[in-house]
Amino acid sequence: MRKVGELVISIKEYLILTLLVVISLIFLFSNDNTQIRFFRAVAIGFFGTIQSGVSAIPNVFELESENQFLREKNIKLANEVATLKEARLENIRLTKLLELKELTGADVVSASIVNKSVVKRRNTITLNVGENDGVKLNMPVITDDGLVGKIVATSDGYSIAQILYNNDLRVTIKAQRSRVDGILTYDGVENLIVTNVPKSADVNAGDLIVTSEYSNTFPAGIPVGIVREAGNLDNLFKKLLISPSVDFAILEEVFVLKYLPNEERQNLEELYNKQETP
Amino acid sequence: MRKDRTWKSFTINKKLHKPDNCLIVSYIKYIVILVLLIFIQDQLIWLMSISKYQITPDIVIIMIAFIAVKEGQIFGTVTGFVAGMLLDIMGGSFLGLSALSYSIAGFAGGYFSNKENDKFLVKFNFLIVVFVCAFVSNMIYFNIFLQGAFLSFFDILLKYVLPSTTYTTIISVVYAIIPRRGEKKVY
Repeated sequence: MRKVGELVISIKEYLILTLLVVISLIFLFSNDNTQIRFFRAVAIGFFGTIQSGVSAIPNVFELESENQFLREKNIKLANEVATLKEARLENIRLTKLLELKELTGADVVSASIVNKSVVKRRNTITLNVGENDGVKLNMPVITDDGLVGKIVATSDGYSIAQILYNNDLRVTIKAQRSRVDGILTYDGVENLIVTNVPKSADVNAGDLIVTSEYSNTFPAGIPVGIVREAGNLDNLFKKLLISPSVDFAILEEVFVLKYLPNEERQNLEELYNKQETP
Repeated sequence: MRKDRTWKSFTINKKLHKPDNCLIVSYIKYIVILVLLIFIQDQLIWLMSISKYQITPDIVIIMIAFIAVKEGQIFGTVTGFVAGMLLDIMGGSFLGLSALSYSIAGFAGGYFSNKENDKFLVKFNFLIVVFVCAFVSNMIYFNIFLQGAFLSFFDILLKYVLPSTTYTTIISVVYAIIPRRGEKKVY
């Protein structure tokens, strides 16, 4: 018995360690026990109150990384906002495109402007759509704001369009309110003008100008611009200065209207003109 | 080292070096310091967390290492168990995990105990004890705590055990640089 006692005393460190390890393991494996859970819930509630008091103290070691994290998050969110804004604008454009399609009854091809000149006498825009997309010569180019011009050259993947600010483009128009006709041209300097409007015609500044049904190139009713100034050209005619509906300075995307001149009408008019010409 | 720490030698040492009331005072000191450190470890240590793995020093293990070296293996083991249980209750993590790791770490620290010669409590020698205790404690703690986290043993060792152990050892430099009264210079 004494020997056993001596043995126990000689290994008491190990016995105590074993006992405490066993107790620890029992606790460790009893974490799901209901009573232990209840006890822990009470303890966590008590110490959580203290914790909430000290949580207001900032961690100086973490401030830099937290700052970095917030900056990165800020950049990500800013990018996300920009993407969402772009998506919103695209949504608006596509909605208008659908409206446009319904309005004209013709198919449209969405195009981006890849090159643009607006300071020459013959200004054009180059579009990233071509014959492969169904674009053909003389198709009207429009935006949801109004008329841009017409296609004058095409390749497989690109096309060039004359815009209203081009000497070579003439558009048959009419005042929407009074139905007075005229032909819109570019004066080569800065103005879109309509000449040969009778002095007695009822056209005033602010009147909306739209494409006329007399035109065989453009469908009728597409907004072209607003009369900015209605002055006298001479004793017989007026000269109208037109502000275009489309802002060419910020133009980025357009639609090519899959609308072609009526061939029968075109042929008949050409035939008649030939007979008239001596 | 451990052989010097029998009950008999302990009683003799007590009688030789310290009267009973002195012992009680020193135990009360241990308890107060330990409770304070447990509170700091549980409530405020996150202020010192570093890296994305939230590595924090273990200041309780420093005290356990000190007690283990000063008072012996049994004291170290029991102190580790009690401190660990308190921390587990306060922390809300696995109940018994800190108790287990601290008990074994306290036991390991007891191997450095030598009543005749406290050389491992002198200045930077103590850092060795802290490193060993912290390493043992962290090895047990993180390997159990991170079970199911799909981390390999070496991942746990490199990302958690060694950083935390090193951080704890660095913090324990404070012990080495604080001047104490009547410290024996034993190297």
